[in-house]
Amino acid sequence: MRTGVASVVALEDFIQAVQSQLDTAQARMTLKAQNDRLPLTFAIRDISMDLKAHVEVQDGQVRIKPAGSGDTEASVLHLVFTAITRPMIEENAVQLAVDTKDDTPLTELSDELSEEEIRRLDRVGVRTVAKLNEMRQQGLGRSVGRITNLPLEKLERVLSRATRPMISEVEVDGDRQGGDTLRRQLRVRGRNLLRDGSPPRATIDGQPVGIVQATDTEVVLAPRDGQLAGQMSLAHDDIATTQVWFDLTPHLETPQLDPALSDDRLAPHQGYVQ
Amino acid sequence: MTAPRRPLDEMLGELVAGLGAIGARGAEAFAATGIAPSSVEFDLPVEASIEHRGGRWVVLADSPRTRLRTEFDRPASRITARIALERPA
Repeated sequence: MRTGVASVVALEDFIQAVQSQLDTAQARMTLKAQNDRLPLTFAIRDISMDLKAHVEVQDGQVRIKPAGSGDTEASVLHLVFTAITRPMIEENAVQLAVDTKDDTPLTELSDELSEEEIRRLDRVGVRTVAKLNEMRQQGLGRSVGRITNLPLEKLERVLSRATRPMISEVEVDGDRQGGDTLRRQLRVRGRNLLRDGSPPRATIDGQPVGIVQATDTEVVLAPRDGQLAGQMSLAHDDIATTQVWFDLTPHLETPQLDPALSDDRLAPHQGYVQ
Repeated sequence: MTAPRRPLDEMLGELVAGLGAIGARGAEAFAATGIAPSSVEFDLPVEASIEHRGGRWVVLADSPRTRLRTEFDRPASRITARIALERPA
């Protein structure tokens, strides 16, 4: 982690730091005014700053280096900040739903997003997978990508992987012995089983399976003969597919375990997600 | 040994706190005259830098340590802060 005096810092990080500190100062002053019960109170209305710094552009990003000792040739960066009121924020903000408590925070996607990328998304109020998905649904994905300097393709890939179907249980309804194959159904439970209201594509061993009904936590499949075991795949897109091995065929005798095969392939109901 | 530079928010907080006396006495003056100060503007030289502390960037902005600048001092930047009356009595 970086600590101490910065050599070069992105302009957006500098501005973000000033904004955050102005906010802290305003909050502290409001608290003091309330505690002291002053009849007249003052608040910072606007701030302008003439910062002596060196300015450079690298990879499309404006970076600054505050002038150091004996630095007589530094540029002057003129920054103006104005305090905005809560009604102004509410008036101009994009109306977004409140995060749900069981939503996945972006910090849990550290294998997909770097700490810095998560911080950039946090700055625009995107802290959860649901919020990111909501912005994509509103057609704001490109704007988020531009503001946070994250490629749209990466955001879509992250979102796709984070919202791919998750399978927790597979069970069979109807006669497992094959009596009435038309009424036999596979009940798949999990989450993220709907995206934008549509069920995932489902295959077993590469062969499509019909979907009878679907909710976000349960999909009912209509398997054909020979589809009570194998590799089930559920996918909303071509980016992220969830696969699980299952075996719900009738076992009249306990099979001899072949040590050459992994436990995953032998255990009914138990699958692994790729 | 020089004092450590303060973060920008502490410096601004101190400026506003310094106006507390105006806030306390201003109400009486307003009642007597019908006139109250509406804003105060500070235009200050500051030594500015930025540090990474506790996972975030912090802007340090504090009064210059000396009135006369030498080659060993960081060149002074300027901050103009307009501090306005928040609510009349």
